[in-house]
Amino acid sequence: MWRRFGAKLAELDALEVVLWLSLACVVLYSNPAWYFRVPFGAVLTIVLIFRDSIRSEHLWFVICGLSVVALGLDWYALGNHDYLLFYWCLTVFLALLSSNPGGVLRVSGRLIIGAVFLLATGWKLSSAEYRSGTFFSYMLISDYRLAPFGVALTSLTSQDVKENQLKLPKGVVGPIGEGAIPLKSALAIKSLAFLLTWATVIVEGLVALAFLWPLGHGPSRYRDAILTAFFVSGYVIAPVASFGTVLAAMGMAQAPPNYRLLYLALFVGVQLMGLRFHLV
Amino acid sequence: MNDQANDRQVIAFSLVPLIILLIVAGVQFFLVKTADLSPWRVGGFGMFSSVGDINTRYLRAYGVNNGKETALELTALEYHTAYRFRVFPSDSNFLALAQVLSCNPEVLSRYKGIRLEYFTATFEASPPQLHVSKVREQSFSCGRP
Repeated sequence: MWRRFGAKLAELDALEVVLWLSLACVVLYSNPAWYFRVPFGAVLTIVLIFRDSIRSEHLWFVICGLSVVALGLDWYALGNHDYLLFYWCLTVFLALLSSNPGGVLRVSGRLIIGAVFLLATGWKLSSAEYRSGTFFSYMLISDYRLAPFGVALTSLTSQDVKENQLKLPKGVVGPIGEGAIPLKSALAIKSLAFLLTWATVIVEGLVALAFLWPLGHGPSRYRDAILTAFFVSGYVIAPVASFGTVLAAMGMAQAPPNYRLLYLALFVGVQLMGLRFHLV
Repeated sequence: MNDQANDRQVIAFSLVPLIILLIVAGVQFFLVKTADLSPWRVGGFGMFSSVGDINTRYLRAYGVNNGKETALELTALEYHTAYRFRVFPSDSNFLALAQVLSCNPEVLSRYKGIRLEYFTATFEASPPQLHVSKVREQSFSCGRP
């Protein structure tokens, strides 16, 4: 069944598949304020009725314009996926303006993925608390996404994590005072933090290398496998669905036809992984 | 369009989003280093590299009347303004928060002034403990931030 599904997907127009996935990212993960939801909902309605309009540069100009306004209104409070979505909408708009839309999407997809991972790796290496393992030591004993791994792989208990979370001050309410707040940890947390620290740098650094390397040579030939390794290793622990889906759409844009099924699976899988926070 | 012109157009169009991305990265780096912007925000390239996001940035607001202080419950607007300050703790965001709070009709009717406190925390792995320190504190008269 998967083989037939993969063959069917490979037969579809690559550009159209990428455009639909990109529009899905916009509708699912753009600014949730009503004044963006309403126009994006209208755009989606138009495209569902007039299917060919997905290839209209005018439509993507409007989407780009709305994304710029969304960024402008809250530019420093927004996170990476809002910016990534904007770069990608701009790429799609420019691709549709060009005489070779597939070419622009392929080249730009590779460059954006490579640059994002290069900068993320650089930030991690420049942060002393990251390099020393302090960042993951903290996350493994207190963060709702990473603490379950601290509990599963060390002698830390769920009760310890709950107590730690109760001791941490809240953002704008509750008691707070200057001084040290002792937290519960376990001996093996340090080793686990060390492992996560350097495994993350290695995987993200390899993604950057593979996507920025000249096409068809060296690590570039394994770029889709390496990006998949990032999805599997990173998003099992911390599934950031908004960033992951845009990344999967960009991955699909630059990949050869036989990788389309993989990227579609990643696009859907990243969103499903988030379910564990709702079901537990 | 011939092949060479086509290739040039593909490269030129592909570089535009990349150049914007690099400008955003530069702005983010500058503001994180000079104005304490959270490294998790803007381009977000510093996500998962530091504990210094809003989870370790705390704000407390008190209504003051005749020397007595009461912790203020924030409305949605005030909460959002406080959130923006915690992400980017600039002077203008601090004053914007003071303005929103001190002009709140309920605060105006009950208190003569407000006081804001801003704390940040760092984590030490061994022994595991969070160090909280007060970074900023300021009082304002109600209606006149």
